[in-house]
Amino acid sequence: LTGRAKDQVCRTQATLVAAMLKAGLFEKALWLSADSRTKFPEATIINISTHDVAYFQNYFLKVHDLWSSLFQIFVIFYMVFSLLGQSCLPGQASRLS
Amino acid sequence: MMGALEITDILLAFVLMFLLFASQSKANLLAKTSVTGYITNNDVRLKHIRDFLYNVKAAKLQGLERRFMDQIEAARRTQLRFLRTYLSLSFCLFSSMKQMIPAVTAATALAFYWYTGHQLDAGTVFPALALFELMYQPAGKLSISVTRQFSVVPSLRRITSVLTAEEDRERTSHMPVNREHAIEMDNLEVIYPGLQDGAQETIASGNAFLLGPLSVDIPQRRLTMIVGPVGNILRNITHLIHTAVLTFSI
Repeated sequence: LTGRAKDQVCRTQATLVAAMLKAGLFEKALWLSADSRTKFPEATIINISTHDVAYFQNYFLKVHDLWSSLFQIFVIFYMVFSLLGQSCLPGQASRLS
Repeated sequence: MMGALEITDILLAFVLMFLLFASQSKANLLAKTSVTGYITNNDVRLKHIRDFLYNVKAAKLQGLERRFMDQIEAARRTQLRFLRTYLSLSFCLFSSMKQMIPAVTAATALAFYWYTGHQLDAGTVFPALALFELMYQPAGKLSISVTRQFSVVPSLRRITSVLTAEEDRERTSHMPVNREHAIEMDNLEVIYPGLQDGAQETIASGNAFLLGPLSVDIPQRRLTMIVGPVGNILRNITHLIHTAVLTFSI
């Protein structure tokens, strides 16, 4: 249940970020100078506001894994260490690398 | 026995760690290259499609459809090659590494436990195996999330490059900003279709309708959007503004 609630919060935030980026890109596209328009033609801007924003949105859904999974690993490592002692270190070293 | 083998054990562990670290880093860079290639070739493919649509008359007259099609297909093939590399990395390499994490970790730790003179009894082995299994999910997530940091960089750079591109309004920023509104409408009423005489009777009969009263202030040098359901009303408002601007400009 808490996992689903967390996912829901992440989805909401990711949607807000994606909407903000798309709106920003849209307004920016309206104001681009002639040089910038040559550098970023319509196809590129459409591609960026769909594919690249979708990549970033997906990234935003999972960005917390970087610290939460590390935290879970440390907690479990503490439990394994209290059970096996220093013998668990080689296994953890191969895992973390 | 321990003293004789300790240095070789440590060296072996370092070599293994280095190999795993190097392979993971190489996989991360390969994922980044694949994502960059995929989105860049998507731009190329869309450019060819756009060129064809813009020049569709000339292309059809001169029979150039095949040439455009070849360009689009070539871009798509290159794009698919990058996609195949990325998916192979994601689903084969990372998934297989993820699957073997608990077994490798448990085997290494329990072998070292036994090697250092401890007894492998059920009271130690089974709780340890359960804990190693618990670590399977966060370890897999950590590995993928590290790779994700590399994968998102190309998209983030492209978004940033557009958002920081030069604008037209930067060139006109030295011009004084007039705080007054460019267009002001105060209780404006428009009869559609436009009638000179007998308007009220025509509206009452249902042959025309009244738009308004409308009060809108449109600021200068700002983006203003008129949002509403699809229909003639929006077009009438924009047409009205356009006509008024032209009239007063003349």
